[in-house]
Amino acid sequence: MIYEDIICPVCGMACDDIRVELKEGKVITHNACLMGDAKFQELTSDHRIIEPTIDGDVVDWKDAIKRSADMLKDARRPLIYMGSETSIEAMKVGIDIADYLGGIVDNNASMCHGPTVLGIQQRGAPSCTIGQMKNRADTVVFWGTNPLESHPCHESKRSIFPMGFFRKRGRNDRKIIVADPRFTNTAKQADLYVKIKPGYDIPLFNAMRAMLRGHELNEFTEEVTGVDEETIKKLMDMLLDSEFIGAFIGLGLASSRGKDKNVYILLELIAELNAYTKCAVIGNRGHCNVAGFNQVCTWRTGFPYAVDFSRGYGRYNPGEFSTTDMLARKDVDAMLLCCADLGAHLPRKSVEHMVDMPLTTIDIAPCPSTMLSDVVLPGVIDSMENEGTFYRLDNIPLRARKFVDPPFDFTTSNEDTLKQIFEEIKK
Amino acid sequence: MIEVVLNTGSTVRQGAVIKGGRKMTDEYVQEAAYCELNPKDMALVGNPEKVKVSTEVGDVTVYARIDEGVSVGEAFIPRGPWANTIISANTLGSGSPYYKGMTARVEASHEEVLDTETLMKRYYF
Repeated sequence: MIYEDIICPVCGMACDDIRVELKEGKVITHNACLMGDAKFQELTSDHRIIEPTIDGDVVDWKDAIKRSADMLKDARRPLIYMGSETSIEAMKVGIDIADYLGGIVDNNASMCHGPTVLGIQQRGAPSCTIGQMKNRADTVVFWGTNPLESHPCHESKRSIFPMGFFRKRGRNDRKIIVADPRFTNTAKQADLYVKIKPGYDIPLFNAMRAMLRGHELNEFTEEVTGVDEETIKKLMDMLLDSEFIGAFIGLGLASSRGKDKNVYILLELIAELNAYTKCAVIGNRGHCNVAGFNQVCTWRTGFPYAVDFSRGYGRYNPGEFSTTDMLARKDVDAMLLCCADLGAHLPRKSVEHMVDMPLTTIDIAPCPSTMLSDVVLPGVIDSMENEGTFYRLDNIPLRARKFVDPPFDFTTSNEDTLKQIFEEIKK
Repeated sequence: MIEVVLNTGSTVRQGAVIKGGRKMTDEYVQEAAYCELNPKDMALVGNPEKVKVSTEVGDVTVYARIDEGVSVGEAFIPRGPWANTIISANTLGSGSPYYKGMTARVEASHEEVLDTETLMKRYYF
C-alpha cells in the first residue's frame, strides 16, 4: 500500500509530500531524507517502546498513568516539557496541565531558537513563507545555519535549486551567501562565503550598517569581525543589487554569545536594507513542530514558551522560567517530559537534576531520558499513527493524516495519553 | 594542549541516528562522540586517535577527526550527550545554553570513549 503526501514529523521543513510504502512488514520511503527515513522506520523498529514501565519494570498502563499523575500532583513546582515532534493538540493539553497544577510549561524553543523569538519580540521581523522565498528570492542568505545537514530538503525544495515563479532557472537565478565560522557543506555551494569569527556577529552587522549609511569602516573592523573590508563591501553590493533577499538564520546566532541581541541587531540591519530592497527573514527552526508550540502557547497563555503559572496566571521570563535554568537551579521537583530527549541534549548541570527528581517520559525509543525516568510511557508517532496539526518553520499550519495504527490499544495519540494523565490529576 | 572556541551543532548522520531511535547503539558513538579540528591544530596535539576536550564544566574524551572546514583555533563536536557533558548551563539570561562559543582545551587522550549508557551512568548516577 502506498500513501501519498504524508507529513514528515522530523525537521522544521515539515515536508508534506512524503510517499510512504508499507510492503510485507517493511516501510519504504520514496522521497524522505536520511533523517526522515530513519523516523519512518520507527514504525516497525524492534526497539520501539510498546509497554509502560515503572522503575524499569513493565506495568499496567493505568498504573503508569496514575503514578505519573501522582508524581505531578505531589510536586510543589512541576515542569511540563512538551517536545516538538508531536501535534499541537497534545501541546495544548500539556499547557492545560501546567496551568491547572500551577507549574511551568516549556518546549524545545527554549534551548534552540528561543533567542530568535526574543530578538523578534524586541525588534519585529519582516517575514514570509518559504514558498514566497522560493518564488521571489534572487539572493538567499544562510547566516549561522547549515541546512544541508540540519534541514536536508531545504535547498532542493525551497531555497537554492527549485524553480520559482520569478526564478524560472532555479539555482541559476539565485545568488547564495553563507556566513558561518565553519566552511560547511552548505558554504561549499555559496557564491560568497563569509567566514565569521565565532561570537562576533554583532560587530559585523554593525559594520554592514555603517557601510550602508555611507560611513568609512575603521582600521579595527577586520580584527574585530574576522572579515576583511573587501568581503564586507562585496557582501553589501550583493545584498543591495538584489530584488528580494531571503535570509535564513540559524543557531549560529541564537546559541552564540550575544543570543537574542545577535538577532536583534540583524533585524535592525534588515530594517535598514528594506529601505533599498526587499528582505524577509525566517528562522531555520530545527524541530518539526517547534513553531507550533510557540503558536499554541501564545494563543493559550499570551507567551511563546517558558511560562510559569505558580501565581495562578501565566508569567513569561526566559532565563528564569526556561527549562535549562530551572533544572540547573534545582527549581523544579517533578517533570513530565513528552517527545523530547533532554537527557541527551541539555547541559550536564541541568541533566544532573533530572536524575534527582520524579520524572515521567513519553517516548518511542530508549534514550538517555528514559534511563533517567521513573515512569516511561510509550509514545505515539503523531502524523503517522494519528492525525494532528503541525506548524512548519515559517509558521504555516499543516494537517497531518494518520495512515497506520499505533502498536498498542491503551492510547490513540500523545494528546490522548496526556488527557488520561490530566483526568487522573483532577481526581 | 591547545585552546579553542568550541562549537556544537547538528549533522545529518547524527540526526539520522537520533531520529531512528538508535541513541543507545554504537552508531551514536560513531556519529556524535568525535571532535573535529583543523589539520594544523590536530598536528599540534600530536595527531591522536582520541582527544580530551575540557571546559569550565568538565571534560570528555571523544574520537579526533580532521576537518579542513574547521578554522584554526576552533573545534566542532556534534550535539549529543558527549558534547553536553562539557557545555555550560549558564544561558546568559536567555534560556538557551552556551552551545556555541565556550572556551575549551584540547589534548591527546588515552581514555576510553564511553558508549551512551556508560556515559550516562558515569556522569549522572
